[in-house]
Amino acid sequence: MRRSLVAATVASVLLLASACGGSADGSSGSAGGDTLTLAAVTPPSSFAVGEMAQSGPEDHYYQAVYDTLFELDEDGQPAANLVTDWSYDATGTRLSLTLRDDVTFSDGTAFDAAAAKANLEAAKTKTGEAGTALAAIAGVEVVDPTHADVVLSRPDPALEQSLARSSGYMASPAALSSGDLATNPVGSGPYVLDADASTAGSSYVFTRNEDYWNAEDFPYDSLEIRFLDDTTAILNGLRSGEINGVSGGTSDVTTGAKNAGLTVTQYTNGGIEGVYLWDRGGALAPALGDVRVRQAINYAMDRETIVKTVKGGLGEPTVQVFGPNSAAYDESLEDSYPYDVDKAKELMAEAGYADGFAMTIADFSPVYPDEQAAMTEAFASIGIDVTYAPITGDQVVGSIIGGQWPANFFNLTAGSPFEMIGLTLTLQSPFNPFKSADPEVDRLVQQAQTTTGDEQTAALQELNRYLVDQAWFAPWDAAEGTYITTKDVAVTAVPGVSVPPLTDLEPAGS
Amino acid sequence: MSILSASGPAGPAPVEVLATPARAGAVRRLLGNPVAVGALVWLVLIAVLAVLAPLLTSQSPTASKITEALAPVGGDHPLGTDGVGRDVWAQLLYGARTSLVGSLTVVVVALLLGLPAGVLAGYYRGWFDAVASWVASLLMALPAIIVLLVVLAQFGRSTALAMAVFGVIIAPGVFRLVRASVLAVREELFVDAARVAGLSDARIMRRHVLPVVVPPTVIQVSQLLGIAIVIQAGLEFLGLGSANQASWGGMLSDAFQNIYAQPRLLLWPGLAIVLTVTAFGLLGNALRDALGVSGRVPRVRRRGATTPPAVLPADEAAPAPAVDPDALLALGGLRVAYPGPDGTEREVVHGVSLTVRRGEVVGLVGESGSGKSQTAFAVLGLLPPEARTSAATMTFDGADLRGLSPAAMNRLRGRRIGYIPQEPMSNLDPSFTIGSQLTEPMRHHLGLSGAEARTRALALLDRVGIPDPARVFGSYPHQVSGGMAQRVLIAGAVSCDPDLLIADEPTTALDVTVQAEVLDLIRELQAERRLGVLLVTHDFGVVADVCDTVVVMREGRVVESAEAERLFADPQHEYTRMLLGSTLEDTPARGSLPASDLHPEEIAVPLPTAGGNR
Amino acid sequence: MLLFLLRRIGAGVVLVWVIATLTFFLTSLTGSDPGRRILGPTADLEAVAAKRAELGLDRPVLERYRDWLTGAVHGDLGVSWFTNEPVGRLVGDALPVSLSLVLAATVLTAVVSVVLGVVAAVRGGWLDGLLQSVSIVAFAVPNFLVGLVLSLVFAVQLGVFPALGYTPLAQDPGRWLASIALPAIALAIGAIATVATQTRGSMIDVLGQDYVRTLRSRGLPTRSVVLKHALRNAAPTSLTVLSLQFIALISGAVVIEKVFGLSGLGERATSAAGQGDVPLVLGIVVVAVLVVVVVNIVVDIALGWLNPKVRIA
Repeated sequence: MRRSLVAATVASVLLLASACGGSADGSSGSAGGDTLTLAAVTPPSSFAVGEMAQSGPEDHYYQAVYDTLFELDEDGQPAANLVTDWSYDATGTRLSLTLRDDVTFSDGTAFDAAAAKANLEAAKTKTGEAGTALAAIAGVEVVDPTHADVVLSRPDPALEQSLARSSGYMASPAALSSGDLATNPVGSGPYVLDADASTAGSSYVFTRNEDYWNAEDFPYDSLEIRFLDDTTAILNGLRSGEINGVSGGTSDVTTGAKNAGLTVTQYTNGGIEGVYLWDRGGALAPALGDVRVRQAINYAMDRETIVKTVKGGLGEPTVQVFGPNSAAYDESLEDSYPYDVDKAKELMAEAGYADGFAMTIADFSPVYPDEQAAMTEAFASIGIDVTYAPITGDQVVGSIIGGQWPANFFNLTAGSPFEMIGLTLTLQSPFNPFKSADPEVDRLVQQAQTTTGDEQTAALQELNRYLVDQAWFAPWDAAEGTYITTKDVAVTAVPGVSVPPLTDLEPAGS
Repeated sequence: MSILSASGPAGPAPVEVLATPARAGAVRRLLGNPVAVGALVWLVLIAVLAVLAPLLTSQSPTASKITEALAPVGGDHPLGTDGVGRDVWAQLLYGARTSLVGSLTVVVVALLLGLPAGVLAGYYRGWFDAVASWVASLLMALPAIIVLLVVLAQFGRSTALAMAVFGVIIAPGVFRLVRASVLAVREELFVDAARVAGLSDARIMRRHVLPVVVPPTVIQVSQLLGIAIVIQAGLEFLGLGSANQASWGGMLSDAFQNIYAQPRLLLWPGLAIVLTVTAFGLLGNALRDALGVSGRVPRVRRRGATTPPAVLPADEAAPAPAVDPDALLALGGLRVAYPGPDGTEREVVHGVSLTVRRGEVVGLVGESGSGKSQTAFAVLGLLPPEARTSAATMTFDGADLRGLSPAAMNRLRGRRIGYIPQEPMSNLDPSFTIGSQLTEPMRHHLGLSGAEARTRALALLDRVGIPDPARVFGSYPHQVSGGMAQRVLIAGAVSCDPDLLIADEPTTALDVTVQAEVLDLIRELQAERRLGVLLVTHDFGVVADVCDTVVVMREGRVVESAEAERLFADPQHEYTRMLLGSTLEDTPARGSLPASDLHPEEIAVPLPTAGGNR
Repeated sequence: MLLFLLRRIGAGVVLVWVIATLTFFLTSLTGSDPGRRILGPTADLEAVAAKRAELGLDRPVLERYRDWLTGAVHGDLGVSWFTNEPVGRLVGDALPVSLSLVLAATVLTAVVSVVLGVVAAVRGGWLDGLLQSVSIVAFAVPNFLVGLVLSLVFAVQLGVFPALGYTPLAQDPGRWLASIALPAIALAIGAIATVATQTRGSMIDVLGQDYVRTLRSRGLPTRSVVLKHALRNAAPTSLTVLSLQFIALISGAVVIEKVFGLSGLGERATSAAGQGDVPLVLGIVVVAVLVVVVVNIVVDIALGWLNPKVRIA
């Protein structure tokens, strides 16, 4: 017994000593000039155009091998890339593109208007986010090798954004039909996948594309991306210098990284986090049908503190579901729901729920332990008793869309206000599970979609104001992502994307 | 430690006087073991803390106070808070609940499945045994965590589900142990007798089977409890535990997330897990010792192989008998004692003296526990290391055996003193051929080459009356009969031309028909090589057959020592008479022998004896 | 012997089939929505339905089972739903990593356990007590805790070993060893505790056997009695325990691989099970059980070789 105690104590002391002391000297990983080693928290799902997500931690795999038609500038707005010039016609249904003429794919095929047409039309048929974002495209007309017109079935204000992201990846037309594009990408990007040096599903090695037209934007000669999803392993890898960068993910990793002396780059990533109050009609939780209860929940959220402690400061507190960079955003709305538990209790009492109520919601703690804890605390403060139902990872979204939960913590990412409207406000919206409908919402949505310019902005802001007032949601913050790097890698952040584009990583001090 | 470790049935206790009485007073023995008491105290403490958690802290283990994330020790938080501001002390207390309930779940599920299935399979055999054993082997081939991953991915993460599934996966361990125990007891006489007596199966189960099954199962349960806690921690680390309950594994997981910010968070759950699992492990070992299940109890065997006790000169001025100049072995005032559990010594041989001359066969006779075998082993230096041996005189061929180094003793053993054991089958190494076991000592002592040793071994085998020496030479012990094996052992004993032969009940374990042949053989070899023989036996028939001199022992003392003829004709001591008398009663056919004045060699005809049971 | 082998192989095949079938129906019959998982939260319902059809999930489960089984028998384990890589390749890439780790841990366990077990059994005394105490504690420390400490000390602080990743043996034997050294040690500690205790126990049992006394009565040197005869007779028990530990090590590797960022079967299994990547999960289960079956057959052969009674029979 005593012996075991001694052993345990020695082990603990050893542990503490090793954890407290020490420095982060990226000794073995050399980031200057030759190899950049990144970690990604997911493996690549598919290299086939149209099959990937709009933006996610796996972006780097694709950005290594593919060019996009547009790229995102420092403000997260579409800028020229393969497309050098572009314009819409008056109806907003024809987008004319001027293309570079000096780009070839790694299989030797030249990039031209026909290739762009082949890619967009192929991607459009795919089920990934990258493909479904192209739904408005009716067809692509080749004018000449460097000019193409994208014909739309309806105006799509978000199309250029999409084409600057995963929807705009260009693969060799020859490879599009080959069938193994999903695992064997052929693009015109800065690097070429070295299949022999890679291990499927875990480690992807890319070597420089010698003929790349824009090589100076990619200072590293080779790139390795490793799939790593364990926080401890990631931090150890960064500390020992075996990896140079990774998406920060949760605040734990970010906090850990800061404490470990690593560089943390912070940027808004387009997500709106908070409690989504789906059951506005009170089908599962009758109390949520009362606007005063929904407002009370909004008052019960200590957004500043949540962002500071749960999110480790990674977020901009907000009560709006439209992000700070979007046209719908209205700074003045932020004063709508200050943290005020007394006021919240008052509203609960007025609504007849002085003693609170109970509801069952999905247990998201595997993914969002801290967020769930904060939500539980906020609910508890006004007497709402939450029971968590265990749920598997792949049931999460389906169960939300299926209307199983009256509310839950969630994070929805939208590149534009219209995307957010499409996701949450219409009767067809997947994240309107209880088919909440309100004539005023419908009217304002309609108005925003059929107008342009200032008129559109005014409509969006009015819609936003109405949603905040009716407390359709209880958002916490516009989420901010972090990208963690060793000291020898510098990052230029771009707002609205999951990870900084590959082109924005370079050796520090260069 | 492992689930298997409790599975071995008790081996034979090596020294009869120290055989542990089974189970009687197990609880007392357990409580007499300070380690067990320490482990029990810790476990009870954990259980009490778990039960009384609401009284010991007002904090909720799951309510996070995000403003107080990573709060230091002190104030409202005796052990600080974790990464989301949950109170560490409360988490530890409620985590104890989760861990204990989780590990109990494992044990209950494993027992519910394994215990009845094991009892049924072991008791009734048949198709159920076949099916259950197959299912068990199937489950045992599964890597547990991969199964848990699949199940939890399908049904949602839940500590209770995970532990129940783990209980199923681990159930074959219980099943196999129980089945083996039942199988063993099933074969035993008392069950057969009970069945003949017409007892119902249920009654046999209750009265005879369960008592045998329970002790090893109790030990295994103690180990399973510890294993379950470790597995649970692993699952929590992988993020597969329930969210809305505190657990030590979950605390570790949170601590890992904050390892660079607040490493001390690792300390408490780490200590709790390690100490609790350790306590279960220690308790399991102590239970094993207390119940005497695995045969590891008798400390007597420890170090048995390497450091035989040196025989000390007797410190008392015992009257050493004058050493006969013709004596091969002279023993004076031999004492053998063992330390008892309470530190006192228990003497089992009290000053035995005897002499074996060249060419003389000395019978050392006595009942079980009379110390005759202890005396023989003392001469060979083969007593357990705990034994404390002293003697006033102990010489072999004039050389003092006392205080001889193990190496020096090894030069005598085998080379100049041969040993014939009692039980032929258990005295041959089952993993080596007879030939290899015969030639190894010859090559070692006599420096013979492989071929020379082989030739000599074959000749020896032929000499001891084995019909096909070459075949037996290449055989393994299990391939020959008991009589054959005893001949092999005799061949081994004389292989290096010893001067003295010590035979420990050499015929007791043999069939009646073979006994006389083996005695003949010993007698022939003795005569042929002019060997001195110390023959340990309880059987006056054997004594009459071969001995020149007889030494009668009782309770560690020599009560009478005389020439064989004289002893049979005129036993002096009452005990000798009693022994002789009982021999006569047992074997009427030998009634004519004792009083006869025939020379022992002349009655070396096969005779019915008292038989093989001591 | 041949018959025995054939029977064991037959039983192994049946085992793999039963497990694979159970896993197939377990993963197929519950209400999961892989289409949604693959396409992400914002995908619309038509896209999800299209994806389901693409994966063949709109077909009857028995038909899917038949197709999967047919493919598996022909060595085609299908394609991962989430990475579109052939499962055979994913598992094939991961297997050497896990096998390196588990085999290294097994070898380490065998060597260290035998030395410790024999020394403790023969020497006894405080050394034995120490082994007993240490092994109980070693068993009680979760292996990922050990792994984390090793990684922090030797990889992060001292930099003498890599903290992450695996170097194939063929590429660089030295770096291969370095890449699996820490995880193998972390993995082996619990197993060493178990096997050493078992070896000690069976050595003590064997040393108490009559034939050991008889061997000693022949004046054979201690080295021969202990290392040749006693160890040989204790070996089957230790080997059996070791083979059971091997299965436990495969389980343990799941956690250890995560700590050290090794892309072995365990790492694959956790992410595949978490994602609901049914083809990959099935592939991993089949291969893991196959490994166990093969190891068990090898152990049976070794046991037969060690035990003359089985060998001749």
